[in-house]
Amino acid sequence: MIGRTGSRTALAAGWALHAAAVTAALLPASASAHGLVGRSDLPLPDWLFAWGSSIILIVSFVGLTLGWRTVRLEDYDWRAVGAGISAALTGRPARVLAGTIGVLLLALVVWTGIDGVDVPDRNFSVTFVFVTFWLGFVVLSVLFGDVFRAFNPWRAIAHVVAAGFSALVGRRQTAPLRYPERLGRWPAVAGLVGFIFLELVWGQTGFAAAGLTPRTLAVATVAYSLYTFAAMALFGIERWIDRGEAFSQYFGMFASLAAFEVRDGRLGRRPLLAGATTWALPAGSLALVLTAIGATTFDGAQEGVLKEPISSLFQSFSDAGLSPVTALRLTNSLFLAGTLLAVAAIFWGGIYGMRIVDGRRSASELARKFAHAFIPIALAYLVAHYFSLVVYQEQAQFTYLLSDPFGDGSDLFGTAGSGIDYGLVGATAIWYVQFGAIVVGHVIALALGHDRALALWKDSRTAAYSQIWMLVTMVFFSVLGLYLLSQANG
Amino acid sequence: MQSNGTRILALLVTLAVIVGLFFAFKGGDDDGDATTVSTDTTATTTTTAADDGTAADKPKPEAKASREGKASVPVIAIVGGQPKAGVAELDFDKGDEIRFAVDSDTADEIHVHGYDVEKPVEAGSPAVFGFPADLEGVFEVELHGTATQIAELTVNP
Repeated sequence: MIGRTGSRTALAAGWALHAAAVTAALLPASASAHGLVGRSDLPLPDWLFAWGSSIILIVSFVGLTLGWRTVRLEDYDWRAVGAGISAALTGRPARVLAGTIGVLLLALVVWTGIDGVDVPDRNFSVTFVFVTFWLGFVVLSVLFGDVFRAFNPWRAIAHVVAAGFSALVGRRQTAPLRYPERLGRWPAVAGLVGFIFLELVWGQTGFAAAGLTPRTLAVATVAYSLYTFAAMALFGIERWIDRGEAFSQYFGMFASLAAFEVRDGRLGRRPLLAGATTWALPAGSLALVLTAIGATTFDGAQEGVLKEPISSLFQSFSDAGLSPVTALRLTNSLFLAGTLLAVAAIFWGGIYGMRIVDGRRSASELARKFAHAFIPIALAYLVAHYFSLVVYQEQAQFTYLLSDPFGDGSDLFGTAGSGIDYGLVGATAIWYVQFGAIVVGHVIALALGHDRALALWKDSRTAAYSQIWMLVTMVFFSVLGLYLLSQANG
Repeated sequence: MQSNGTRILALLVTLAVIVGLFFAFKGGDDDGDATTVSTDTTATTTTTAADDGTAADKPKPEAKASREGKASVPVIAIVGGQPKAGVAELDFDKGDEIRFAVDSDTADEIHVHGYDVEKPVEAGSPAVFGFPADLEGVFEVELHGTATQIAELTVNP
């Protein structure tokens, strides 16, 4: 035990030297005071980890044996809400307003990114993209459904351009290419991996993520916009939104849990969670949900359980003559890829286990049938890992980053002098939110898996047996989630 | 179904108890370690960097000032813009007085994130910090000039 801590010291010292070199290389000397990096959560206490794991196991069993015996969520009812409310929320004025807001915010991200001070925590763009947008829309999607569709700036711009072009040539344009259905959601998966790479690998400075400079972010945003417009022009705007556009697909995945759904322009209600049952039909859906889980796992692990393996591989690459920045990026890339593969392997382990119960169904069919049940686990991971970041960093977003978006000393709304109150939420409250998120996410995942098993195997006995495997997989993910939290800053 | 259910129940409850006990004990072990380490005083923070490579059995430089009383103030030595003994770990409980000093061979500015405490340090005259631990979490302490992390400040609830 003592030997272990001793070697950790040596590693930490070496790590600090290199991390410092990397940080110095990436950040200008004026890197300042506020938020984004600099604070992290205390590790979840062992007693809370023990309670969480035990509750997860017991709840899993109770769910398996005492759970409902008839299918509840499949073939759900959708009921339109009142025409007035629907028109107000999804009608043309609302859509134009939301689209305009989306486009203005996209423009602001690019503008501040290029023109503002090139310091991550002082520039509007970085906090907006990685916290307000990336995490905020997950929350909105789970609560209210697919709201990103309305705010999607690329969709709004494309529709305006398409309408203008049609008016100019006098007829409606159709997409020149048919979207290959076999591709399914895979382009969105690629986009998601790209975003995660930018956030967790490219922008990594050694202590925490989001060391990405506003300039790089602006360039990446413009590049992604051009790519999106090109794809929309080729395959059609809505087709690309429904399959290939990474953010629509990522937020849409969480929106499938919500109780609201728009059908044919009409807002309606559906049972909570029911929307997820049809979500995983297109190819690549499984990869999307597993990537979401893997990304958060990697982000949590790199400051905890993977800290030492990362630092020793980094050391090897450095000794081999790579520059600190290259060595760190290469190391993190390998560990990110490894984490994604490990998450996939765990999932497939559960699927192959299920085949013992029913060998007539292929593994790929079972994987497709149960992929949606892991959305709540992806959500639980996000809430547990990023709750405090959102609570603290959003204070920055709505105070000094709003009044001084370029970081040039302006004070548009008189809030440039305000900072983040780190006393707003205490460590104990954060622990309970993390614990609650993982346990609740686990229960919802079980419910979705249980319901699907009843739909697949008419007799509840086979369904229950098949669920032992799914349950083991889910227990593994949930306990892993708690474990990563308990090892944070280890 | 019923007997299977009972068997699964037995299995899972056993697992739950084992997992619970394992971590309850594991937690106890960790606490024991922490106490042992904390008896090592602030001197460890100022040990030379050369020690770290060879002395694998040396305890981690940890500055448990809160449990040492106010007499011992951990000193973080900075040589050439780098923390000599690696990133120092400062551990306090909420309500304590956070006390530490930074001794640097070059002039710089020390910044404690979250608390937003800033203090200049001159070569040869240590900057001494003293402020109440009223925010919980793990905070970075860095040199402002190069954004080099020199300490990790932990404030437990």
